[in-house]
Amino acid sequence: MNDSISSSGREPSLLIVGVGNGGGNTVQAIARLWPDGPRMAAVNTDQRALAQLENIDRVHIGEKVLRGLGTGGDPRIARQAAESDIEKLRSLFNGIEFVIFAVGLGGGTGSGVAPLMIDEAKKAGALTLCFAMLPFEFEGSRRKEQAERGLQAIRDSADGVICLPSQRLTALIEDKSNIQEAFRKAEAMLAAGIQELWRVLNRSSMINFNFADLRAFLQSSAGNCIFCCSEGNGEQRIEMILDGIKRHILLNNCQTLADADSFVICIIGGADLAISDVNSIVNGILALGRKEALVMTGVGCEPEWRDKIHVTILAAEKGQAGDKSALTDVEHSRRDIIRKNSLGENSESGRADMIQTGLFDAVEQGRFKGINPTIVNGSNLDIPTFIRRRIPVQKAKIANI
Amino acid sequence: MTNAPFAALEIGTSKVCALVGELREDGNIMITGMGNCPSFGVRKGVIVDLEKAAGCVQTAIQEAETSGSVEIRQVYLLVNGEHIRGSLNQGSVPVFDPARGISADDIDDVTDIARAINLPHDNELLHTIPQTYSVDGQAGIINPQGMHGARLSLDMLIVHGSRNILNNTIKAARDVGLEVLDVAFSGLCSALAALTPEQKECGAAVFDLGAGTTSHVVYADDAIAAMGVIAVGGDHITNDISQGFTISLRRAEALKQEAGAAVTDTGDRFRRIVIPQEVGFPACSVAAGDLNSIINARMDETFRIIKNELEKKSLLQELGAGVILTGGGSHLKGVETLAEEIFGVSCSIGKPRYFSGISTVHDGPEYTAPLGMIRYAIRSTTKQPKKPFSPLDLIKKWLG
Repeated sequence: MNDSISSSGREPSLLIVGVGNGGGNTVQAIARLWPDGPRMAAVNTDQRALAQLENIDRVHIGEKVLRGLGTGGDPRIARQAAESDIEKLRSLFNGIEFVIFAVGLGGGTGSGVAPLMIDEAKKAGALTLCFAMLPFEFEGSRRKEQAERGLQAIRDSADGVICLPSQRLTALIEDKSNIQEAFRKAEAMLAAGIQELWRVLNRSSMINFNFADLRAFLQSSAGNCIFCCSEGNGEQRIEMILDGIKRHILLNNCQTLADADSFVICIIGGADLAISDVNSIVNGILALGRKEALVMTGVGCEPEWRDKIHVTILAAEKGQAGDKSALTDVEHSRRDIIRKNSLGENSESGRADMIQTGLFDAVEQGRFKGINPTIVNGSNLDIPTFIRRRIPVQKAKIANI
Repeated sequence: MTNAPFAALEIGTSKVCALVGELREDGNIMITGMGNCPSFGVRKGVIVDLEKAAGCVQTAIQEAETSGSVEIRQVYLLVNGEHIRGSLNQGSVPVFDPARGISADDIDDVTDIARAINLPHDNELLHTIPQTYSVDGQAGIINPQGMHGARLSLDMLIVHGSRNILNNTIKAARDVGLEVLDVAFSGLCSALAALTPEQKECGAAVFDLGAGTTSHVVYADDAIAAMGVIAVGGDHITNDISQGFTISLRRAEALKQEAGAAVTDTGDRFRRIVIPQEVGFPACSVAAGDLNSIINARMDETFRIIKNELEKKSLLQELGAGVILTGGGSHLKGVETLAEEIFGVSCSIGKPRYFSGISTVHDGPEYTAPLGMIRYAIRSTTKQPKKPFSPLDLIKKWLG
């Protein structure tokens, strides 16, 4: 996983920010994984936690309010601290087009500061994507509630949110292993996910999956969006990948895929990536999901790779009664609406935002209504080319300015 | 008479344009007057509302009269639209006296025969353009006079269009009291204004990217080898944007002109473009990547349709001087890059040659066709006296 993402053409300027203790450690993990990666920064109220980080920009906030101590797990105090140093935070986003936030939710800084920072990043004109780590159950109910509120706030401001329910990692961790290791594993998984997603956004050129697609997907999937990365190399690479997915801890024994209304499969291979490879991977994953699920794929190439394929899956998780994931009632009702949409009962909101219609769905001809259509080689050229080529486009959004 | 002003009139899909120009002693054409009016009642280069179109003609002509301090009674009219087609016709004659070689009479004969083509009954001939001769099957001869051979053949490109549509365009001008001296296909006029003799010799394609149509004219070996019109243009891009983002056509047009590009950039997908608030419409934003993807898809498709046409006629390798873009659509950012990518030859925006006068005219690629028309008019009148145009007398020779 420590391949650096080679640059071809101009990539948007990226900043990865870790907020709070969990976020800072995650960014530290990314910095180790991706030594010549993009600019990385950690924002924290706790000076001691910051001091342990290396090779990343350390931004200490709330000196006046807290005198270098943590927030004691109180998001309101954390927010005050952030507001007192707002200029420091704003300057982080100068000249940045895309910000990925890594946030450990549950504590004070992550839940309190992250929403404010996301707003600032957006004001600076950057697109924002937030990876949120939800607390382990042993962290207690107070942190869980705080995490839920924080997640809601983040969801309201960020362009996209992807979750990592840490609790699922416990199965990976032997009882004897120390708590430190549990956190390290969660952080490592998040770090891999962030690097892999960035690769997908910049490399999926053969079948394009870009940020517009990602955002539309994340916004239409009102529930928790789960990610999973799997890689394979050598002769058995396809089997390795599918096996990795089947056993992936975050997919909850594939239950997440089996329930998902929609998911995204991104495949990055080397120059030797064959259409049969893509076909077997996609079919193998599709077999795990529902037949009627809407599936988007992105395929790209890292030219230096040989015999090696990385697959990233994003799936919107469906909540069930008593679900342990951090979901509010509001979320459940929103998701119900979306589910109805996908059954065709309602076409407001959700994926209806995306124009992905077929040839026969769009006969609205706008300016060319009532005049002879332009037919060339059997295609009606009055129908927008992007619709005929099935290029997804997101409708105009009302701007909040 | 050569120095009398000529007026060209183009009833386009997005604008109606009238230009007044005269031949200077140095051989340049001086543009002395111009009138413009946003066009109504024209779709895909064809008039769909005669009354509205005539109104626009009136406005443009009046403006040109004022700016040029002339009275315009007679115009040279540009015509356009998908109905205009080019077909290749070959004529052959036995050489009258093979012992003395091919004579001027033989050439006249073969020209007459190559020009005689059975057009569809509702079509009218616009131009006949001689290409190259062949003698006893040996092709590619530019001037056969004096050569020895038994059989002389000539390839002729015949440009023709729907009689009714042509007559409607003429009627729009006549309805406001103008006399139409001649008509010419606007794609040919663009080529006439934009190409230098060297470019014609090396081989070049001129694409006229209009609002309603996209036309191409290809020169190979100093002769027009192919032409065609597709009823797809800038209006389609605007309509695509409007449908993709569900915004009004007017906002879509502004978005296309101010922020659109024909090529996509990786940075675009992370940039949003804000459309300012206006009465009745709140401010909104769209992804720059989406905007450029919509435009790119459309332009890519249009260029590839033309490329296919040229490939079929084996003309792609004849474009030594590359592709020249004219028409309002060539203002689109990145359009040259895209054309270069698709056609694999150099591509530039057409600069009308040997014109002077009102500067916006010869700087703007959207005026290339009416400028070419003035040159066409000057050339045709210097060769033969002009009598008023009659739709029944559309047969004329292309002098380019």
